[in-house]
Amino acid sequence: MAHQLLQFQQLQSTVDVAFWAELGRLKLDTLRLSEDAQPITGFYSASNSSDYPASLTLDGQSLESQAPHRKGLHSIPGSLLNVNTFERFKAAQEQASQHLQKASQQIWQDILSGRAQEDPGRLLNFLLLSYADLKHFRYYYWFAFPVLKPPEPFRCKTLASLEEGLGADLAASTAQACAGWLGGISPASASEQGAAPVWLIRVADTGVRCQPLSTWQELQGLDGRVILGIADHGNLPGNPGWLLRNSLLLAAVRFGVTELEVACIRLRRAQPCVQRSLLLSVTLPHKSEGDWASFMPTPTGWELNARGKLGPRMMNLGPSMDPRQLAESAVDLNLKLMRWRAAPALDTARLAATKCLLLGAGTLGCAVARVLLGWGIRHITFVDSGRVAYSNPVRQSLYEFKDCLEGGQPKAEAAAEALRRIFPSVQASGLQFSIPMPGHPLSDAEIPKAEADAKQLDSLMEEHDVTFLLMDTRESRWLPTLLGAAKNKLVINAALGFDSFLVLRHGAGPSGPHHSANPREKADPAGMRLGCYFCNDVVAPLDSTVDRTLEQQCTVARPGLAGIAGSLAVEVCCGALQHPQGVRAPAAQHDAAASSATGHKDAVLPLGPVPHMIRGQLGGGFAQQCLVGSAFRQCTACSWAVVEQYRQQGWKFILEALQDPHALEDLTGLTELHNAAAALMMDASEEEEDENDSLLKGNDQTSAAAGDDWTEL
Amino acid sequence: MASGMISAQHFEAGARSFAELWKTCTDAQQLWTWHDSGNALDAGYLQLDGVPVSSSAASGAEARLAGGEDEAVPWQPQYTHLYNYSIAFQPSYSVPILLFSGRKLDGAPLSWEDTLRDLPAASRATATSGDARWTFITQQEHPVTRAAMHSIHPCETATLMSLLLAQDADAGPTTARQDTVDSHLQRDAEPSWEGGHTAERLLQCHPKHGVAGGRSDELRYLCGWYSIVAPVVGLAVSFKLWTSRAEAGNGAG
Ligand SMILES: [Zn+2]
Repeated sequence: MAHQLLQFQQLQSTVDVAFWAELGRLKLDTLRLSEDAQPITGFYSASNSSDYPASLTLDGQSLESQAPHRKGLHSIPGSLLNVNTFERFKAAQEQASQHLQKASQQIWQDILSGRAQEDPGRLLNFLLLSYADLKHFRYYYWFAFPVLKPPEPFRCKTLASLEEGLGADLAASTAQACAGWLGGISPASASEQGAAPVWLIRVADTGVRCQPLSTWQELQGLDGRVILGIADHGNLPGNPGWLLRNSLLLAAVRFGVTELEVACIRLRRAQPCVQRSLLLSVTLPHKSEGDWASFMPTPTGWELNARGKLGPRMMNLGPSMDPRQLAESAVDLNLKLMRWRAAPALDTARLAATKCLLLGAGTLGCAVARVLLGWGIRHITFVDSGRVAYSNPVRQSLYEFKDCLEGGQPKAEAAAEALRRIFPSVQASGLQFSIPMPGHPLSDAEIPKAEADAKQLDSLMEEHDVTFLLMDTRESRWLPTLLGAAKNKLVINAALGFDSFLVLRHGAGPSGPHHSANPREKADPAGMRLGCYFCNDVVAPLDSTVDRTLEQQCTVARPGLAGIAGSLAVEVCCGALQHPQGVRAPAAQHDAAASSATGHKDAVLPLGPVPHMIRGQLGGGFAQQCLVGSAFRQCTACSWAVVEQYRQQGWKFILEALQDPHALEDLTGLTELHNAAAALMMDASEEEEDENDSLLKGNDQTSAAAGDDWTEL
Repeated sequence: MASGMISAQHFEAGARSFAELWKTCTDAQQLWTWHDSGNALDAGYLQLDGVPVSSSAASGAEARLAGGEDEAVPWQPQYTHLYNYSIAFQPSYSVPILLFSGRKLDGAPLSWEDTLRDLPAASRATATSGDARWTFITQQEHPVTRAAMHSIHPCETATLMSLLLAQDADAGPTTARQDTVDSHLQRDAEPSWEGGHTAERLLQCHPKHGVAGGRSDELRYLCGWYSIVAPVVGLAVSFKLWTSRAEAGNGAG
């Protein structure tokens, strides 16, 4: 044969996200476990782009039982086989050829019976196998656009653009007639499904007219040419689209012709385009009517996947449909926006990677956790030994009434659960245990539990980057303060009085016995090691009854205080995390990076310099002060002597300190200091007229002892 | 408009004329078309659907026979992504906003990373960095359809537009505007509120030059705004936008 084998451009599927969303709804509400075939509607237009072919699209309306006609689109009937499990989907895939056989049998019957000629949409009937993994928003699917192979391949005698094939004038009037057909203007084409995608074009002396496929027989014996028109999805200049194949077979069977002219109509800007539309002359196989009836055509038509192989496709819509993932990216975006608008050098990734340990899940713990979430911190662990009490929910923002029932939920786990409700992507956990406290005597029976708790705290602080001390007793802060110093990790401390608060970041751990600077020596303040919560004490932490303005009365703190102090604690933490020196960041007052040129400063310190401690009063006129104090060489929590003892003896040393806090005083030399105290007191008053009021003065002043710890700062 | 903002009514009028003007400026298959919001509260929006962008991602896949069938055109790997663009009114900022979203030919939405790769190189570099004062690309809900899309963040648009309108006045009618806009983009100039009154003068300017003459203020606003934001997302701006006359009803392309 001289004529060329006609090759068809495959039809491709496009599935809009809305289709999968609708299928999910249909499955949950109506189909449930049913795997019965569902009628669906696909849409396509012959809209042409030189870069890519038009495709058959399923969208939110494809599952409607009576899919409405949409302007400019052809509605194509299809059949959906949705299965319930991945295994069932695999099985359906195995049976692909049976499914295809069945679908194409129907088309073949419709061709033979003439039904397809009446309703050409039947020629294009498609099949969709699917499995919707609704939990993970993954959709597995495989389309078939069944075509029946003729006994001999269709061959092409000529192929040209419509303009070349018909001549400019005739092409123009043909395009105009087809525009009328496709636009539903010509009454013969108007139907509930819109214009049929296959029709006849009659070119006579009286003009060009479009008519339904069913009028072929009437046109025989009349003058003029009859051309088969098809709305063509293809974009290739030398090949018609896939959908023409069954129409050609219909022509061979029903029209009984061996040669046929075909116009593949392609649109540009919704109008038939004479340059891009094709005119072909095709040779068709010939058989007698009886031979056709007994002919069994071979079907083909499974769509290739994105790699060009026969097999299903998978669409992962998690990022666009999973509310959890949507929340996650929205939170990220918010931080990016903050970087863009206000803090260009902000390292949001660093914040996201920071693991925070919150010791205490009361008013402060709740307040701190919520602000941490706001900064994009994803990893939060609570430690608290208590249960949620009836008085808690009104003050402690993570709890609700129901948490108080049945004796109260353990606070730490309830707080973690609340964080997960607020932001499901958070990695929150809660652990219920108490932190061993010096001066709280332990019975022999209690010692193993205390040891386990101390060790658990040690490993938790090891695993986390920042520890927040948010408890309501002073003594319980001692062990984590010591551990923070030993591990050189960032520790943020917040404490409340009735109407005053203190927020403090502990300095770095001691690097040697003589490191800590004596304030009197006026060492470089930028290099000084910052003090811890206990640096101002000249007594060891005790279970004492001395009056204190902080902590002891925490439960009667003004209700707004925890929010203020908690927020400041997180801001101090994030400021230090973004500081190039991290835990060693000098106090704001002494930070050289802060006083450099403006542009430079923003780049070096995205969130500005970070104070060492912030003290606020609501009672005294809402005043707030930033203070700074150096580490105390004889501190019972962060000094070299204490840290070294812990490093060498571990639990043994802790136990000793728990049982007898005065041992700490002996160790650090505080006992000696006490003895000398009386003498010192005599002349201390004149001596300390430091020009720098914010410098911690109390280190060697016994007058500060045991009283309101920080009022002397 | 001297403030760089535009009202919802002016937006609609400007956007409708823009769509008409656009038809005369391009021979692309896709056109900006006006959609009503379908409710009384929101302004409508312009939509441009299915713009192909050749993806830069390449794989080693080769053309092969479709399922071994010789009556089918051999399969070719496809790297085309299709983008939908929308121009909507952002009521909180009183400025237009350009939104876009991309998908693969099979309908799968593009990830942010894929989308980023499709952006022009210059935008890609600045899209998410703090340096991109005007052109920060973010995720934004479509103000009318509520679909999740990407957009240039609207919060600097008014400043940019007031600058542009003022600059326009200073530069005079015959100077190419794109140049002055570009220089602003590069300098990332601080907002200037001077020249507002001259911007007003510009908006009624130069019919005698025959360039963009006889246009409404709204249309000039839309064209100026579009000329800046469209290139950021890789949409072509036709110079004809500034040279051809807007003739309502002339829909031929
Ligand atoms: Zn200390």
